[in-house]
Amino acid sequence: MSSSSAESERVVLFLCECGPLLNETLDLDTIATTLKEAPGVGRVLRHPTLCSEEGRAWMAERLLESPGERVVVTACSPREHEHTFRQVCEAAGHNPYLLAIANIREQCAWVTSDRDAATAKAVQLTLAAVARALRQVPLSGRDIDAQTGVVVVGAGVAGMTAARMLGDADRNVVLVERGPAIGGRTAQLAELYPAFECASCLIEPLMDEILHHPRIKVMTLAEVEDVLGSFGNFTVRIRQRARHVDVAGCYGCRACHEVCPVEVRDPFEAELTSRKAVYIAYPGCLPNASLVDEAACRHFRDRSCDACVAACPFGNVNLSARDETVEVSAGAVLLATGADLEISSAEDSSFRLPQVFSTMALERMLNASGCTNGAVRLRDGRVPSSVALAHCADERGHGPSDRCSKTCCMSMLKYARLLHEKLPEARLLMVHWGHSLAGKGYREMGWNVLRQTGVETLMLAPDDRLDIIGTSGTHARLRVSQSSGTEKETTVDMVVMAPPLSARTTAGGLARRLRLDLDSSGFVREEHPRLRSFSTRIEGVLVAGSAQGPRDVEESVSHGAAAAGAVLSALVPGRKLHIDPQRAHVDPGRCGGCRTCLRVCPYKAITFDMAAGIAEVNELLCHGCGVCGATCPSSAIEARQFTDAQLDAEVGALLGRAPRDGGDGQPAPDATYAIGKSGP
Amino acid sequence: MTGYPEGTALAAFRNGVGGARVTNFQPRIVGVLCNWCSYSGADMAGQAKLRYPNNLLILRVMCSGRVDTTLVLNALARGADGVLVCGCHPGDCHYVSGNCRAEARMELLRRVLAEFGVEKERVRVEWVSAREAERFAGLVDEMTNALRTLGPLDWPATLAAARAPASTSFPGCEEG
Repeated sequence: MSSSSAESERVVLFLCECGPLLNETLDLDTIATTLKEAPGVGRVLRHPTLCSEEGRAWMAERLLESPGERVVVTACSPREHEHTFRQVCEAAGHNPYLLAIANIREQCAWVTSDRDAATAKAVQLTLAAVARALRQVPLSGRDIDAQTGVVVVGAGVAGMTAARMLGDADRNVVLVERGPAIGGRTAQLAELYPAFECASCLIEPLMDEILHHPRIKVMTLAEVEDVLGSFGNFTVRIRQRARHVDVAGCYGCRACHEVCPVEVRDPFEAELTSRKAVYIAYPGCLPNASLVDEAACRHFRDRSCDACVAACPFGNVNLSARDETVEVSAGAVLLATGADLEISSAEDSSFRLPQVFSTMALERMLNASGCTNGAVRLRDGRVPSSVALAHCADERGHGPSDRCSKTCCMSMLKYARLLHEKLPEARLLMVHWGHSLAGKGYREMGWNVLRQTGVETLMLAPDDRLDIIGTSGTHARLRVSQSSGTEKETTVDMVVMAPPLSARTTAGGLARRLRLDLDSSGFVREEHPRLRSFSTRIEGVLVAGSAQGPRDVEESVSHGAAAAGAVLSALVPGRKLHIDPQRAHVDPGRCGGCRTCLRVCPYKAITFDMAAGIAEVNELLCHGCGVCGATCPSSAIEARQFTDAQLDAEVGALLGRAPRDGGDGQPAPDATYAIGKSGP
Repeated sequence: MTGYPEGTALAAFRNGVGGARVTNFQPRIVGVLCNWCSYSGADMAGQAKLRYPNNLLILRVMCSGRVDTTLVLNALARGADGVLVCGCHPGDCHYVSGNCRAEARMELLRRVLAEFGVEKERVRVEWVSAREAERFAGLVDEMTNALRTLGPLDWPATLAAARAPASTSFPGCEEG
């Protein structure tokens, strides 16, 4: 942009009549004549329907007569046809960003029946578009090469589903799992609602496929340490923790387990039982190989034991193995890190009572291959004669919780059925705050359970309170205090509580390193809660499953597939990534290095170049909103196509006054009434 | 009734009849609308053929968060009697939170302007979703009436008077 371009250039103006429509309210002849006389306007060309195929061809021919000319289309809303006319410009060899549109239909002709006023307004709106067009600059996007490989973090159902879909489409996938085996939470579950299928039967074929897929590299005991770069070209640094047992050479014979002297509570079994320091994640896990828990093992504490090394018949235990760091290149990163049950260990938490079990603890007892081989027992080994299923425990293990974890109601109803089958004589009591049964076949199952199991139900109001009180005997007392003042009490042997799901511990660190926003429960904040729940605000970083919010198996699988689809459509082999030119850019000469823009950018697209002392925009991450420009105290950063000079010229023309400068950033000599952010 | 009662009250205003409040003054309002919600809402008002006063001239930005105080002050300095900034409802911003930044910035500007005797009603921030065509038309109506009551701001004349007495003409400006 130079001052001469703004002063001497003319635009070619296309006035579209929109068939007979615009002439109903606007005096198009007057508009055409007035505009023809206006400064900055060259040819004025009228067409009955410029957006029609014939109209576009005609427009292209006219444009070929005047190469390089700026173009104004005065017609309908740019939201309707900006794209259309940009394409015409491009096809005719004009830079599409030299086009400006005046909306004289939706925002002028169609909101009034005052012909004179509307005609005057249409002229004013068109003059504003002319003023803008004269200050637009040719822009062109950039195309960059992109990797098509994907790093999927978390090998639960969401991550595995995504990994398999991507792998089947010949994408190279690295599936990074923090734990020793793949399968995620689903591997812990007993039968799944609503159809009571065996969870492991359902996911084992998928796990097997993942493990042997030629395009998928599975890394267990691995964590993403850092993610550098941006969409299309990430470098992911992964820490591979030492397993101390060679996966390929371990046959799962457990000879090492037998000699290990250490016992620790087993989190996989909801800490109901213990395991050794050298152990296998769970029976039938994949990969089916032992590992050494460094935190528990005596060798790593004081080198006092290495019994497992000698016990292994294959000489396969190596206690001197070290963690390694590997770097992987990828075009996208998909977070499927899942959620944890938030079980409070606070002094007054109900979960500290021996009669209280979390949903996961019951799940492990009900699981035929779980710690009790499918038997439901109290911690002292007795068979419970009464079980209370208490929904909606809050963070401290009291009820109720404000946030719904969405999966527990169905789980609780599933437990009612399974408990009724295993303990037909037991009294079952369910205390809840209304059932959340939205899902295909969910209410059918839920109501059948209520009808058939004879479970007593007590539904409470939002402000009613449930307290679980331990007794000196072997029972727990349930006390319901209703807001109406009524109190009810009953005594049971066993209480099952549903702790809320939270992603705080699983995804938190990684999300922070990726500069992702988290919500108050630690779930990754999505790009859009309804339209794009599978992607984050950082381009190329996707999220699937319970990492984004509580999800059951069915929803996690769908979400994983959605995220995989988003990757497949965004990164196509052989296709370059197009960077839209309407992005923010920094004028290095004006940037004072205050970093205000870094703080306000919603997409973390701005970084600070320490050496140069100025801000830098990553055009791949920028969405072009322009918030940085509005906040910059020295007008050093602004989003292209909505620059101060362009908006200022538009405002001036709308109001019939010249812009504050000649178009070259210098104040016009007699424009002293204008206010400049940084002064003349 | 959402739009301005075309042909009745407008005609009355134009003709200068109808009581003490009636004036020929036609305020000029610059509307700065975000591309995603508010500009769409304004388009929808047209598609629904709602009626609102011709006093509003619309400028499109990608996000209401793009609207800085300079843009608003320049509009007033060029002769606008009021500026209406419209963005997505809080929580719906296409760019996460630009609308809230705009609101904070405009509130500050309104307070500063009030110190200089510029009425707060002249700078408004409103949330208009893509479906709120009626609300948008109603807002334009309401703001036009409010400014008609307040009368002209006429900054160009004030600024011209404050300038060196020799020069009184503005480039590209008929009324000076």
